[in-house]
Amino acid sequence: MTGPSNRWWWTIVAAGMAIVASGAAALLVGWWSAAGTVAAGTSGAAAAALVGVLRARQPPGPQSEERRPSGHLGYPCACAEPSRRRLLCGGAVAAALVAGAAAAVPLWSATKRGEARLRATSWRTGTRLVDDRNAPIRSDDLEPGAFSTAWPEGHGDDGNAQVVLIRLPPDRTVSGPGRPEWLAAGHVAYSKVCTHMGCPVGLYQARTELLVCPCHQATFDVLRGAKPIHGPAHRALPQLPLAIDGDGYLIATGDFPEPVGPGYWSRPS
Amino acid sequence: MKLVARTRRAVDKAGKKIFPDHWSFLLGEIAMVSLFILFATGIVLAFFYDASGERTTYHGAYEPMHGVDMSRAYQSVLRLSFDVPAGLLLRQVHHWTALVFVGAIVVHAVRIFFTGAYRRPRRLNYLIGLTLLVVSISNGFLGVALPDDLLSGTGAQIGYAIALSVPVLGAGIAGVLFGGEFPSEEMVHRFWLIHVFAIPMLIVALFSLHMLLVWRQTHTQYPTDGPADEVVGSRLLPHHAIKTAALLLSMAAVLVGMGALLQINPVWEHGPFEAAAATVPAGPDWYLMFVEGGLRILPALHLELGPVEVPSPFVAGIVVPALVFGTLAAWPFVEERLTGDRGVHHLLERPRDRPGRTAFGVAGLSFLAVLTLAANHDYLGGVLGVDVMTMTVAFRIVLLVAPALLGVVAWRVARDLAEADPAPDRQGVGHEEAR
Repeated sequence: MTGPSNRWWWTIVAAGMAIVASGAAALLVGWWSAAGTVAAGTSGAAAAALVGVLRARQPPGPQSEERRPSGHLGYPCACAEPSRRRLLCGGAVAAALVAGAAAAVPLWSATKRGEARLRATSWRTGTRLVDDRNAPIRSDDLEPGAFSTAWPEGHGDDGNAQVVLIRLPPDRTVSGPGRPEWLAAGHVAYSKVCTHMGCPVGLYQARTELLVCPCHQATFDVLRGAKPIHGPAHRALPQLPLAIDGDGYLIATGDFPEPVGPGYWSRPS
Repeated sequence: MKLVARTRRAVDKAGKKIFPDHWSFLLGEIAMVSLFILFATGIVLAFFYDASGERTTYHGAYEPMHGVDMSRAYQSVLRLSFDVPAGLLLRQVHHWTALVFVGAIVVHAVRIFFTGAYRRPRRLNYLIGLTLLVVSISNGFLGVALPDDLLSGTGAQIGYAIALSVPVLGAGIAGVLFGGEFPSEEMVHRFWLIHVFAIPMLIVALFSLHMLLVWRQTHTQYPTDGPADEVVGSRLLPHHAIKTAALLLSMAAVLVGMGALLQINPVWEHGPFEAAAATVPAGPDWYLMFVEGGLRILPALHLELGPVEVPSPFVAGIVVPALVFGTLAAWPFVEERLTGDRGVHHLLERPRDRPGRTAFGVAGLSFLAVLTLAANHDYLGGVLGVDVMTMTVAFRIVLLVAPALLGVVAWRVARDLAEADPAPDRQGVGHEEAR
């Protein structure tokens, strides 16, 4: 039988060892980690000391407490009487309905405002395509088979306007639902925002002419209007109409024909 | 003086409150202690966090990031990590504790479920606990998004697509939560207010109610520990209070130790959020993996109903979590219907004595476990040398088979165990012999 005083000794020894161990770890791992380990060690030692106190003070046997009579719910008594309870519940439901109705109007208008914003990006007729350093892209900057990410000039912060710009090999074009007339000097541009969940569709396999989204592996066929052919996406990536301006730079001839990115309730299809 | 005497009497009376000694009653307390540590570390972090999506250029202690364009939020997290004394330590402790917090709630809920602790009169408190779980998971998601790094941005993007997929109200909900169309400079500010103000207030309110009801309704206990009409255990003062203090200190020791020694979420490695980039492999914290897994492997059901549509993220992002938590919320009421037992119960049941409930719980847990694993199906495929499409199909099959199979196994094991070792009397009659 170990007596309480004996247990105290063990607690102190354990606490001392914890502090020594954390100090040693502290020296190994650097300053703030060191402070952390020392704090952890001290806290652990204090916990050990408390367990020692607990064991020393262990009551002779389990104690008990009477429960309220069976069936008593423990709620304030006002709620326990059936008639008052019904009144309170009715009042609560009525209040919730009023609050819900009051919240519905602003939420509805927010829906409308949010939707208007979802339909458009910063592309306009004549906007130049720029790269990630804001430099306009010429029609001979990309090698055939190469791809890059482009933004509307002056709107590099419009994440929903980003496009993958691909220069197709000389003998290739796009077929439906892609629009071959929206190509310019063999370049095709699709929205980079995945139609599944909006991740950037950043992987381009030149050999198979496929675009793959890294998040959930949605796969789009570049030569068929970026139609989804594998994975969870349902919509093609919207195509951006392209042309070349008088100085040989790539420009858009308008915005995307439909909203970019993930679907929503009233998205026009 | 009268006040002092009255306070003393109240403390004396409260100190006599009995807490059961069984270890499984400590699980909820682990969650409570984690919550305290989250508040303590979170308040300090909030001093240094700048909830702004405004752009700035970095010139801080972390050399590789010099001159990089980023949000002030991300800059402040880098400053916190590299310039503020012990800032990184606190951030890591906060993140580790958040993982433990949700984990403790889940394990506590598992104990409550499998022992039938949710039965009358504790149905309301069970629902409050479930709400706490949902609210805590939401706050974890928001907290991870706050650093505005590339990994958290990818997560926020997925959250946005899920919010957008809600029928009728999706665009409104997404617009209000994210401050407009994603990516929005408003987002971190809104997330921050919800993360540090709105949800903590809700958690404190619900948690207080949770505790108040436990206090008024008294603890449940195992029939081997005591009878139905009294609670057997230790008094709050001093025994249980010392126990809780020891738990607080040892958890602080473990979590601070983890914060000091184990790296978590190195935001400087991910770089600032950019709409045109994504990190791979990427995934949410463990408690949201079941949603990510669903997004990866569930068939992408996409409904077009004339002029309107329900996009596919709705199934894995909204329907599956709603089914999981809805089923859990409905369970006590369903069980009352099925068994016809509408009585008040203060004694817990052993899982083996309720094979049906046990089988249902095991099936549900394995469903969630398969979805959680599926959140890493590209990584697992890489390890096994199997391509992602095959992994998707394999996971679909496992998702259907595993819950059914494990449910049946659990039912048989429970029944066999119960036969070998009959239930102690549930109403505590004859508990003198049992002890």
